[in-house]
Amino acid sequence: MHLLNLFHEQQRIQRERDLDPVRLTILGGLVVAIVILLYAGVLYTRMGGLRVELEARRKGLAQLDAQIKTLGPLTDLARIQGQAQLLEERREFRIPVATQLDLLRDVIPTNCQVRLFKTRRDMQISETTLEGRKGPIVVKKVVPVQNLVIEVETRGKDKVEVLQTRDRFLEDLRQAPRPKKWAVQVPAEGSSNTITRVDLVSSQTPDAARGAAMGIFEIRIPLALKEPSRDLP
Amino acid sequence: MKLSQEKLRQFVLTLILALGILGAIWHFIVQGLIAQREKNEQEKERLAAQIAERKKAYDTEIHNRDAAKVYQDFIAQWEKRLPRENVETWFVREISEVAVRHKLQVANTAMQPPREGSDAKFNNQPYRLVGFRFELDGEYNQIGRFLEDLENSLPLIEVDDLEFSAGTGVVRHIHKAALHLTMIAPR
Repeated sequence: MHLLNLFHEQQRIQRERDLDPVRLTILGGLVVAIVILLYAGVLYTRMGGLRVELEARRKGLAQLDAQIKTLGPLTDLARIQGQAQLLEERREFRIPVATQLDLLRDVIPTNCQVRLFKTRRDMQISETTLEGRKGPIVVKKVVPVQNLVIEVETRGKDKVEVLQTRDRFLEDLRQAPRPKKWAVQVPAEGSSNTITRVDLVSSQTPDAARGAAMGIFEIRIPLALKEPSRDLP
Repeated sequence: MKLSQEKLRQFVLTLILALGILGAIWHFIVQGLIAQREKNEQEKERLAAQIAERKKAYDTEIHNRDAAKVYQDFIAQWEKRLPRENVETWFVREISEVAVRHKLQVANTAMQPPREGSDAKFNNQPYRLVGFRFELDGEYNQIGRFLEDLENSLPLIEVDDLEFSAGTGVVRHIHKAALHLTMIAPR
């Protein structure tokens, strides 16, 4: 006769049910799902703060846009600046002609007379070749220049005196400090000299009253204007 | 514990189902939230950059307006000196006024276009360059003082060409000056 141990049987069935892999899988899955959902909740909460921040930024941007709109059309500062600069440069960078006449009056010897004085604004284009990565680069520089032509008549007791006067005049012209303030003497085109001289007439003219010898010579002086450093308002 | 064939089949199927459900939850909820968060972070950065850009534009505009005011005052001050009427009439009147002060007579006046290329800077500007020529007879110093006065009283005028020649014979001291001036005029 077998003895029935119902309690033992019940315990075995309960243990088998507890350790049922299907049940355990479902429970484990539920736990993992809860953990995932909790993590999702944390993420969602954090995103709430981010959404508030985003909204505040959108509002801030809209306010700024409205503020800019109330200002009206934008100022074209570059255009206004260019306009002012044009007027300023016009005033600042011009070569004063009266100063050139004054200079000539100051350096001209008493036995000389200015027969002709010509001044003409021009542009001097200089080219510099630089070595670039892809070969030589030619840089062109445009400098406003003033070309001066002076024709002077000199009289003296003899030809030596005429030539001495001419040379003294040329030297005085070269050394004159006044034009150095606003211009520099530059070499004439096709020459290395800053002053070129052409003797037009050199003769002995017997004229007791005004001297026995006379010379007429032409001087050419190209001047490049110095650009003063100045600030616009 | 030995599992029956049927139990093992159930376990495998449950495991696959559980993994599928968890994967779906992860993909559709968590990954969705992460992607949304990244998008929002990017949006935040973009908005921050836009705000900074707008603020800069606003500040620049305020600064430009202040600077433009100074430039415009400067321009207005110089524009008062520009010809408002017919340019030739303006030239003749202004130059004659200076000439009278030095007891000189202005002759042979005419409009003469400025030299080619000299008005290149005036492209896209509300001004143009106009030229005017005239002649004067007088003593060297007299013409020199006239020119000095002209250059001081009309600072936007520039002498482009000057030809100054002495007389001959008894009027050696009388010089003839031919001048070509340029001036800025409104377009």
